Amino acid sequence: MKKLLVLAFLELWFFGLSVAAQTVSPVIVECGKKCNGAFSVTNNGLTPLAVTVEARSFSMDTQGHATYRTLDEAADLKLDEGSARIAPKGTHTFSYQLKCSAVPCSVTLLSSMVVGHTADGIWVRVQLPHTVYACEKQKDCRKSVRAAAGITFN
Amino acid sequence: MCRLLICLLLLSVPASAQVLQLSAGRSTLLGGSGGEITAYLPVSTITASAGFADGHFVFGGSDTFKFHGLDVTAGDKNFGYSFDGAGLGVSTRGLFVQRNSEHTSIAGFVGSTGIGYGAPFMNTATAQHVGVGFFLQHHFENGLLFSSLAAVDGGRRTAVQGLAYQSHVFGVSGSGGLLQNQKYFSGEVDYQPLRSLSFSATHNDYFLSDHLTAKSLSAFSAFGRVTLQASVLEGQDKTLKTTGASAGAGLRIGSTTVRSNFYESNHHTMLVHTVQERFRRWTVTGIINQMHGQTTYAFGGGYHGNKLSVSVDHSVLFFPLGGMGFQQTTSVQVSLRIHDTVVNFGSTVDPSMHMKYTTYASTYAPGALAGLVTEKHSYSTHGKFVITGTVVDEHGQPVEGAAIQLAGGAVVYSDSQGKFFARVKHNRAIVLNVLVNEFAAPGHWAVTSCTVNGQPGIDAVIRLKRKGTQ
Repeated sequence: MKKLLVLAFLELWFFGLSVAAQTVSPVIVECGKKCNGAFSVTNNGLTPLAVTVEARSFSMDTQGHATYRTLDEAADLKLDEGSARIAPKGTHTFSYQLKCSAVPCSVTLLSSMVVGHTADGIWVRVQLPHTVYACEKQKDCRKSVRAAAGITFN
Repeated sequence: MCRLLICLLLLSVPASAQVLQLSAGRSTLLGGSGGEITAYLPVSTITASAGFADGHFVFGGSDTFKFHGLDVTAGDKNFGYSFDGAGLGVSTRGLFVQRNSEHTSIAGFVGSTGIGYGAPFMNTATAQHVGVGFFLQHHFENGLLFSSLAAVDGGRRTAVQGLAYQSHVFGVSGSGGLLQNQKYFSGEVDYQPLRSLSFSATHNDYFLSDHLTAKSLSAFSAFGRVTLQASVLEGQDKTLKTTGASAGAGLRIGSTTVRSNFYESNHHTMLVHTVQERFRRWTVTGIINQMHGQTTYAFGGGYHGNKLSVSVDHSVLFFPLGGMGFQQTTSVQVSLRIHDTVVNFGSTVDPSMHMKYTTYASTYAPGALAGLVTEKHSYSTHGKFVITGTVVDEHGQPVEGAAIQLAGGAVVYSDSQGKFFARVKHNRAIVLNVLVNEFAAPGHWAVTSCTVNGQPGIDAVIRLKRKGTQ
């Protein structure tokens, strides 16, 4: 019987990231109902890196923990590219247009990349978020979304 | 003979490398031309450089590796430290040892010191004096940062101590002592009493051809769409004092920014009005310049994309040497990325219309130990129409990280739902090619069925089978 290769992914979120080789910038943006934005993914490694981008809506509990779901119908997102191959030490910019028919609307663009594997053969995948807070007015949008979720700390 | 040894070293390094970084370039601004090979080996990084600096042949090399928790570099290295804009460096050739912990960094070197050449495409040192040095940096828990550098090279002594502290509203950093037998002091104070208001004062000693002192005092405020700034600057060399003052205001309306700045130095005044429009990756700038009773116009702008970046900028800089004061400069930057190769060109035109430039190219190549295939291919294109598709395995489950090439060009990858898309310029069918060796997903895959052509509006379906499973 052929030996079954067991593969597992480890989802490492940005704040608990031990692999410091890849970065997303900026992490958070605030905007009005219509938003023309962009974020950059940097490959600090020495080998080419494949990155896929997925959009998620999310809600937060009072502790600030996010629960992700498929993109809400109120959020109309147009991504220029859904994936890219980033050269060693290279940076790739993903551009998007977001229109929200209902505000506030919070969207996270997750950049997923396989960054290597452990000595035991477990593949490590990193997901780095770029979060867009869209409100009626740009100013203090994130603050108002967090306040609406009952989050009292910064 | 020396050149032959360098050539042999350059040729021998790639043989055992995992990844090679190759750079070459020329700079009239830095006065040199040459190249560098960096080989990233499993346990060390080897660098070899050679070229010409100020008309002389120069070469250099280093091997950096870990040894019992220490970072060791044998060869050329710039030894020094910097914090908050203040920095000191000594170009060394010898043995350099460093140990970093959470709060403390300790380093030492023994060997020779001399004049170094540093550029993006070449780094070398020359051996002129016997030297030895020690560096300590410690972060205290209350936010205080202490730095100490002690070195002796060719009979010249360096003993510089530095302190830095940063809180929410107040930041201060300073270093001083003896730098190669000359008294040295550098300091900076920042105070931000309000979120929209900040003040800054600096004092720096420079050791160029002459001892130069530069001081500045500046204030900046931002109230919503309006920004205000004012600064006073002073430079003092051996014989001449250069002073300058500037003040300006800016207003941002949507994607347009309007600025007016007044400059005065050595009894000459200049008024510069700037209008800048930003639209996604494009920037367009218009400049009206009023000086000596004359009005001149200039235009600038740029495009910043993933493959190509181009910009032409006009700026006013303060030159503290030789009574120059505020001067207008024009700079051109071009950066082109082709696969894993980056070509950069940057030039500056000074007020006397002298152009100086730096151009270099850098690429990465797999070495003999690379162990992975990196085929060359193009990036995605942008367009009005969208090709979409789904990649599934033999059980109908989505496959993430599958690489699909469009018409022999752009490569896209499937997401966690197995879906991929690409924007194309024309509404016509495009040949889809599955690159199983390029998958970001782990494992070995074979294609069982694939829609040969992808077409806007029709979802292509690609079915895969994992090799080695039953």
